Amino acid sequence: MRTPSSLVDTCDQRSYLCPDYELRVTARCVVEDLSQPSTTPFEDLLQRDEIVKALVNKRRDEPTDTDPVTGLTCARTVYKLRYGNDHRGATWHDKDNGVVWLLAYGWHRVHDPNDAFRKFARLDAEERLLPTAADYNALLDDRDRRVARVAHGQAQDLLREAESNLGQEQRGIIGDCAHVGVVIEVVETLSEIEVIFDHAATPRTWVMALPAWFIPESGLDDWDWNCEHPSRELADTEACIRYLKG
Amino acid sequence: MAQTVVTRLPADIKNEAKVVGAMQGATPGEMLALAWREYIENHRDELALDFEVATKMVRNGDVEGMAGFLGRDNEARAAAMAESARTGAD
Repeated sequence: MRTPSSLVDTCDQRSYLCPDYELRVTARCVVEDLSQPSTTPFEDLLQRDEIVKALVNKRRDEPTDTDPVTGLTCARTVYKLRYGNDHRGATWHDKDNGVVWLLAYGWHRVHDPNDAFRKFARLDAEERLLPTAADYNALLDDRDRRVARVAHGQAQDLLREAESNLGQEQRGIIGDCAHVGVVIEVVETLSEIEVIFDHAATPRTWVMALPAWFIPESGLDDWDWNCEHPSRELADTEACIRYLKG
Repeated sequence: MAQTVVTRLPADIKNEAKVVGAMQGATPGEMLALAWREYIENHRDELALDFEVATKMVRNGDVEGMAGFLGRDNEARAAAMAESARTGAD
């Protein structure tokens, strides 16, 4: 996950965007612990909840900590998040998906049955601590909406760079994960635009969107899907597609 | 969102390429490239319809439509991600 530079350190939908990961709150935590609707934008949570402010302040630059929550049965390393004497949260750095989740929040009262750490242990025992499919679905939906906003502009920026550096592959990221290269070669009156992407790492629903972001006025038959890179060997999982512009 | 055909890049295309490649003496990379090209040819009609939908949404600045287009797999992907979170280890 690589956040587009213009969006780093901003709230976007249900996330706070750091350069290489995002901060989110699980829906269970939002509803049960923070008493807000599950769809509450991150910006609203940040304005009203001290523990969410602590999440941003303490996990924005460093996704983990040194003090894990002990006694959990899940095989994930969950860290304590402290705010003042009373507020405690539990965070997990979900490296595979580029998220630091605030999993739970509670008040720290050592001998109270509702103490935050007893609550975290209960949620863990009930298998309600970690993010659910609904949390991941919301994550993917938010990311897709973000990509849909920025990808066309990113593709056009890459095209402009390639136009200014004819014959040289210009590398960039479309959306937050599609590493692509663009080469433009001019042959007499024709421009050849080659777009190289990793088809193993590109979400399959993006395969048709990628050329659309580059040349939205084109049709499928305007692209050659089986071409070679003009100046280097393609890696095993790379594909190169070519558009001829008259 | 506009009606569109859901195209499916076979999830095991890479493994198939490795197996077939080993049988035929080709490298996995060569077989993967072949599998990719065959996929594009064999699904051209569906892909053309998808591409038409995608280009129209980009031209119209249809962010919500494009988000829905990109997210057609999200439910299945999210289920797999949650299962991995639950069963995996740090």
